[in-house]
Amino acid sequence: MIHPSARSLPALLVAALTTLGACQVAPTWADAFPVEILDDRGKQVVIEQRPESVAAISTFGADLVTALGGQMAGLSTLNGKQSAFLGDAATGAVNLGEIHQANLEVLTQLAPDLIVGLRTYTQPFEKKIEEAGTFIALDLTTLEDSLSAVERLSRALGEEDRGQALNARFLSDLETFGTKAPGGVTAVFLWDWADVPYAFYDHYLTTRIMGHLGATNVQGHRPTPELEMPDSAAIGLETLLRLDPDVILVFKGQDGPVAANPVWSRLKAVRNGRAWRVNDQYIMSHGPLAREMVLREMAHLLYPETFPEPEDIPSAARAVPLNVAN
Amino acid sequence: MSWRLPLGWAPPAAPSAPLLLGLLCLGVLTLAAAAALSLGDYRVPLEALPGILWHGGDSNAAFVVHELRLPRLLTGLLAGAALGMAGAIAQSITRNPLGEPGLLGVTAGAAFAMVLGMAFARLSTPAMLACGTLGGLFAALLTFAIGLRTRLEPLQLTLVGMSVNLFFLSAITLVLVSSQTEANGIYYWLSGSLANRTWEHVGMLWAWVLGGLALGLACARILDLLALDETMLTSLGLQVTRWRLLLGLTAVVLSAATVAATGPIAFVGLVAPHLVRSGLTLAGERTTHRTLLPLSALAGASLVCGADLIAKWQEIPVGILCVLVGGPLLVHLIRRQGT
Repeated sequence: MIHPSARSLPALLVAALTTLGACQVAPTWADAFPVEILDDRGKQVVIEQRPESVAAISTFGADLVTALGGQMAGLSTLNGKQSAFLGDAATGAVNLGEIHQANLEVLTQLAPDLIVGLRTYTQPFEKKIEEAGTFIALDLTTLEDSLSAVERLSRALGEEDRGQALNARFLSDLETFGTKAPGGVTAVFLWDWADVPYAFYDHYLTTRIMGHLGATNVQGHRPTPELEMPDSAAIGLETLLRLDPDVILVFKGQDGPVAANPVWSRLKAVRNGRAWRVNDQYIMSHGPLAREMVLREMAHLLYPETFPEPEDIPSAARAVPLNVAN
Repeated sequence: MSWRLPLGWAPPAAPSAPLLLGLLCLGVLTLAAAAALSLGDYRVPLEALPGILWHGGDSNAAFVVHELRLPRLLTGLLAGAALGMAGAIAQSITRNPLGEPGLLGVTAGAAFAMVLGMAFARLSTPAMLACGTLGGLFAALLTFAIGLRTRLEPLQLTLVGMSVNLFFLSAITLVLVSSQTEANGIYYWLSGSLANRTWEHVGMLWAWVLGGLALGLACARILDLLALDETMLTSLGLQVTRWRLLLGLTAVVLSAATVAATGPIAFVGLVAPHLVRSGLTLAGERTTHRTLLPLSALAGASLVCGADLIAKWQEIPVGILCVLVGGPLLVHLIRRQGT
């Protein structure tokens, strides 16, 4: 069970954000340019005027722009695909290639006003990216990263007030769902690399949401609390069998070697039909759309009697049962 | 009353160095096997192991021993033995002390086929293993086909093997950068790992490895002869090219399925024969292939099983641990030989 103080964190953050909002004199953000943003490289990025075109080398950027009602000029892919949870929002955006190796030629041709990317993937090419347009690099692991990134990027887009509203709404939903969740469930969020499953630690946003919903993440805390990384670690199938969580969420997986291992069919979650293959939004949960979808769908997967299945998630992005047979 | 020694009696000879080395490897192997089967999330007392192995049981501990630990141990044992002997053969037929099965192209060929399967197809475990084995055989046959033009002359064979190896390594990189799949899992596999190996891996591996080990042992004397001058061997009527081809194929048979099952644990093939040679040299023993081949197999198996004990703690790829364990050991033996 999550520590009571952790479950009441959203309430504190909502209060803090409300106070912060009350102190501001309703500015017209469109007129507030130039804007200075401190990105996660520690770099002060100056945005001279409201960006008309935005390219994202991460789903996060597209998620926020879509949530704010905008259109993406360019977007990267994960495993060759656009994230299904974005629905049709990314249709028409120029394909920038894989997230870890964006096509810089296409990006340069596109010449967007603003480029958003993950620091870890873009660091080797940051100079080239900066030549293509104003560039903000972000670190996205924890809940705090998500709130901060939404706040900073929405300010860069001239929509700070709406960004704050999105954060406040999510924190409020987190609180509401957390209060309603019965608790008493153990769970794990995995992804498998070839033969080895990796389990996410408590501090990753998706598992943090799991904790707010009263579920115990069997992988527990990270061994290095002073560092955000690693966000996950290899978990042996023997260990997984010993921990035997009630619910298993797997990103990727399906007919991979882990599901073919004899241990898989012995796990309680698999036998009870409570192992699920989840979609991109669980691994890239830091945007306003993704984190809301993860919260509502995970609440249903953990407590199907308490929370109904959310119906507004695009069908291709919904969790599917990961049984022995499939 | 006086004791009289019978006529012709001699004091018992001290055990020979190969026997001592063999016993040492068996000792390490026995300890590693006992620890591998009893230690882990489910602690199984040593005295309970025979009962569990023999009778099984419904408990999670019995299940884990039967379905996770035993197949992993046997995969490591077979892989280590195969790579150890394949390395000794590769070093002999290429007359290259830095030789290992990868020098025949087999490792990169098998790895390339596996990476292709991982990146572009969703194959079952047996299909993936068959795919990797065929890839290794294809690459090695390509090496031999090109090398036959120079009658598999050691230097030419080495150069051709290196080229084929590099070609397939480049092809692996090409697949990784162009497939648009999550490459970290493939990188993990490419480090060589025994994690989550099942009876399917053992079932596919044992026939290739035992067949290859038997073939290698049967040809040990020929390997001794191949160390002699080639002109002399030809004048004595030995068909050098044919024997090199047969022995090369033996190393390939041993390596291809192994790489498919475990990923490329290349360092074992290089280091195991040298550990044995160093051990025998330190004891003042002449090295022949009749002792080198079985002892390399034993040393390889001990190294892989021992390293996997440490690798299992954090699921680190065993290939990396083999380098970390075997490398310093080899350097130590070389330094002792030097002094």
